[in-house]
Amino acid sequence: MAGDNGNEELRIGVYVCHCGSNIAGVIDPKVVAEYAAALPGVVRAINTPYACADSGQNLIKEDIKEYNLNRVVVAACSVRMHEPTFRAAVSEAGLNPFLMEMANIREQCTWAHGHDPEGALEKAKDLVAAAVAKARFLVPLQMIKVPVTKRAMVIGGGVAGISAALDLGDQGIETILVEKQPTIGGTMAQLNKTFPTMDCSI
Amino acid sequence: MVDAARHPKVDVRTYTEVERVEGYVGNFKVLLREKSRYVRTDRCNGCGECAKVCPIEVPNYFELNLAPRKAIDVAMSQSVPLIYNIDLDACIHCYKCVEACGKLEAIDFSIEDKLVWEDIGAIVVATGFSHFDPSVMPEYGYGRYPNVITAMEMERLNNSAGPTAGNLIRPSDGTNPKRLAIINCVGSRDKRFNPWCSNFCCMYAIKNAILVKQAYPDMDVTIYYMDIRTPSKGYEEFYDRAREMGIHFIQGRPSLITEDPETHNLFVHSEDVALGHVIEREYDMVMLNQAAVPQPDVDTVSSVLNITQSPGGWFMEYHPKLRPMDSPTDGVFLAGACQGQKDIPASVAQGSAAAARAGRVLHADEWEIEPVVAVVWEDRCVSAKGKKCGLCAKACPYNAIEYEQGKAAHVVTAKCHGCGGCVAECPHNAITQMHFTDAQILAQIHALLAEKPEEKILAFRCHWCSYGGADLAGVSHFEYSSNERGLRVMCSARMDADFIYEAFRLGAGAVLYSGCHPQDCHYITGQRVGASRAERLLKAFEKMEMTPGRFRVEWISAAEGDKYARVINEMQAVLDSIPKEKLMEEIERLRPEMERRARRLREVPQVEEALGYSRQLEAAMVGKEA
Amino acid sequence: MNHQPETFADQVRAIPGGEHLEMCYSCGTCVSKCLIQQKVEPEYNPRRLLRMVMMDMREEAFQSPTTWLCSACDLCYPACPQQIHISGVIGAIKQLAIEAGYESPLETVTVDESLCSGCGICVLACPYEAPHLVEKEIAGEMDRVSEVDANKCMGCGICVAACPLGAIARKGVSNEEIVRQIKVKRQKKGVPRLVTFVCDWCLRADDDVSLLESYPDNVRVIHIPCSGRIDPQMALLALRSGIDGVLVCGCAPGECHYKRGTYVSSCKITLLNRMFEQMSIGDGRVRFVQIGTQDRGRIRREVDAMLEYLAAWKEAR
Repeated sequence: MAGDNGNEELRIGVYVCHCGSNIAGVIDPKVVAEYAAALPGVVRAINTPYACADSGQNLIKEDIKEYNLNRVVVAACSVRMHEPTFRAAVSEAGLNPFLMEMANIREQCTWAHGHDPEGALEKAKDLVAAAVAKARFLVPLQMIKVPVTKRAMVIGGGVAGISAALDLGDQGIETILVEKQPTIGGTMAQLNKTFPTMDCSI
Repeated sequence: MVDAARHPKVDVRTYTEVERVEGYVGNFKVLLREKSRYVRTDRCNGCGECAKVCPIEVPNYFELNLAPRKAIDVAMSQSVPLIYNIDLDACIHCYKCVEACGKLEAIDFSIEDKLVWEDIGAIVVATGFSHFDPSVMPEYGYGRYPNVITAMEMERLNNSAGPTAGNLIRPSDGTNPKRLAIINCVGSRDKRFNPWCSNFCCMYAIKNAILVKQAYPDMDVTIYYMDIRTPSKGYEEFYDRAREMGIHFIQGRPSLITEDPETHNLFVHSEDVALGHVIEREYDMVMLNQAAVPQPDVDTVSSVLNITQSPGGWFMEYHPKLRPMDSPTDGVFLAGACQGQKDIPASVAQGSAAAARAGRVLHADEWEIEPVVAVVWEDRCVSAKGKKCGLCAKACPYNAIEYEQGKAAHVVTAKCHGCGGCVAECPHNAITQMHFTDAQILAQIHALLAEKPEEKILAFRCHWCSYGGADLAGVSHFEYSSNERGLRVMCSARMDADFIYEAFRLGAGAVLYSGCHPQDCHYITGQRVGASRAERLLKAFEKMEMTPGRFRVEWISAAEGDKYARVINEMQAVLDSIPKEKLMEEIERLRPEMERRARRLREVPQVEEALGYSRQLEAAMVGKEA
Repeated sequence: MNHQPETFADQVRAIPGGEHLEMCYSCGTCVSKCLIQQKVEPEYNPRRLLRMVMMDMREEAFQSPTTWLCSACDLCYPACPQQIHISGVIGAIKQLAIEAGYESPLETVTVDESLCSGCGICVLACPYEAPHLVEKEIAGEMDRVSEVDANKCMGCGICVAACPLGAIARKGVSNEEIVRQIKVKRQKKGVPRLVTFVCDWCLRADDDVSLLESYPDNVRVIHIPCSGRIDPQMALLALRSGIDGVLVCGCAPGECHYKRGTYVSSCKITLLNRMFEQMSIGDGRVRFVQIGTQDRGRIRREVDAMLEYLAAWKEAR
């Protein structure tokens, strides 16, 4: 299953996000997009004010159909931020979500190099090129489905743990509430009345 | 509390600790140690006859050691469950309790700790917080001056269920204080100890002041504060009420408490900031409002549950705003103060929210996990050809690889978490990781070093920690050299030595090899696999007489944005310190050795193709520049 | 990165030690940890000085007594919750003030050049690098003498005590002025006579300070700016004039208002007592005690203990 992604023609779409002024305030996303357009396999490269907004996502979805894209590169924020968003977007347009790659040109570029716009621009181009390079070798993958044991465990019998355990129990889920002390209650049980209503803590 | 014990779906296991957690979302296996109480839970009816006859007294943790308890006792009369407990360290085995228990026969010294495995679909971590110990601040004299007490001690002393039945007395002489000072921010907002605001102590000070004032209307109650923070519903009104009741508020952080050695009265030295004058006021008792701090065993808990920590030791959420209840481990959720200091309403709300998040998993028939797993190319695996190897199985933190000499190694997909350690460890390049193949990573390395590689700092970062650290550096706008070129893999275990050789072969100025701190590793022991490889690389480069600092190994957590920026800037300084010709000379000198070492990389399927594509890409990149 | 310092705060921050002043959240810890406001100058307030810098109040800051009175004892630094090196910031402001032509208003030491031999002991003794040696024409001849930078001198008097020729003096606490105070009226038989030198900074509590006024006339209290001001000869002088004992009170180690005065005096008194022992006349009648910030009531105990000891000593004799 590894490796072979056939000899299909590579059709990469590159989307460079402005993120308002977060990215566009330091570098010109249009320049990055123009740069990306010349990279091998890239058939579509464009800048967009907010890639994560509906308009940006729709642009990507429509382009996938119009340009028959088989890879998408989004140059925007951290994968920890919006990877799920863009995976979902390409997936809705019929592309396997693992054929989307992100280049982090916000947290790890414009935000960190605000003092050095030229350096930031060079770096953004390289990051996009690297994402395009990786995209070339992406293969479609399927999520792995696993069964779910319908039991919960709550570790800690203080006020948060008791609240979680009761809510899980009320949802009909068998729940084990684990407490290392001989009694549940945690810090709260030691308190005199509680603010601001002065009700009893227990 | 009682609701939890009565709930038909909730099984309360007290005096129990989590020893081990294995598995993955939907399919955790948790090992519990049910510690022996030496009292049979099915027989004890909580009558307390045993404690009456027990001759041994020990300090009572629940009463903050302000009162004794018996060697057989319950924490408090409302304990849930109401089952007695023998402190075996204190017990003298007089067996008076056994006699007192009589026909119930609940006491049984032969009971041992019980280890139980439980199958669990989702885990909510709600391990709470602890209190700062003010005895490390000599200026306030806690531990030396008997009448300086902590907030928690006040809770017990002024509590009708407490050791004095709610009679607030001075520890030095048992009299009722007439003048009480409450000092806020003890250990909070103090860079020497904890930089954070502990969130609830302003309200807590006001609450205690009001309770004391209600019980003793003539008492002079003064709160010393830096700022009063009352940002929730009804809180500011509560503050107003305290002022109306005649509680005295002084803005000024006391620098010192002195004690009259005869009366044990206390003198609080502070500035009254509103007046701009130094004041020295006499009190009978001082309450220190301690900071909220993480539990002392937070390191153990985070390594057992595989949760990373924010600065200071709170458990780190997946995202502070978008996913505050999720830990970075799928299927493990956070609730309450273990994630960060918070008050009761917020803790209760988080408990409910975490239950809802966990419910998403638990109500699903099946759950999807990312397919970034390892896959073996059976034709390349030397074990299939009868050779002894098994390095992949040794590197795997999850026992997900079945290895038997004579058969190709096999990855059990459901057990694989996708760290990539086996891939990088395999000397025959017989394993790959989905979504992080050698060809993909190599294509990235080539693209990142296409131009002026000697000026670049190629930074390998693990997804969970150092990539997060780099993100945080950006979020915090910590500026660092724009010559950095980052490359993300899931774990430092995936950072193949071949990648580093290839980067230097291409002429990289410097390479950073960074991942989690060992205790933070998202893949249990993945970091250790990466770290031992990094050690070998450091030695190899030292032997080659590479300029020190061109290859650097750093463990950077997702909370260490400042460190990430600092490391990159230090690496830039190393590059700046080497004259250009000397650097180029060194790169050329080492190139053949790097090429020799990275040669096996070319045997990996698709790698030749990747290199071919990279040549096209580089041409396009450089062409565009010109 | 290359922009010129513009605001007053920028200028202060640019001087080593002047960093982090923007971190101050005006909690007042430094103000109450310090004794200057209580003892010397009600307007003294480091927190407000930092505000003046942040608010660009240049002239006000230069004229503020806080700028000039801080002796860099650094009691406040380890107590500051924001870990601001306050004396460093004040030092930076003072440097700018001096550059702007302001002068220290403090009572400083003066050198009698006709007595000074240029030995340089004062240079070594001073915690503030105020004295330095200069070549100068004196009475028609070139000579090497000590010169004191009045902007650096904090008036502690450590150099006065150190000078072997008595060439340095500070108004109010010159050798003559102190020696003149070393006298205790004759007492009834058995009542010990005691001279106590008390450093101005070692007593914090109001009770302890007022206690000093209440002693009967067999206890003479002499105020000195720093225990480092004490010259062992003063103790000898007292004993020779028939006074039974000498008690010197200074700050606890690490808490000296003038950085190292308490260390210097502890060395001096120890040395003196060693000398007594070697001459077999060591009888514990000269004592040095170091009183810490939290030692409320200790002065009373120390004086009482000394009087009790001297009474017993007299009895035995």
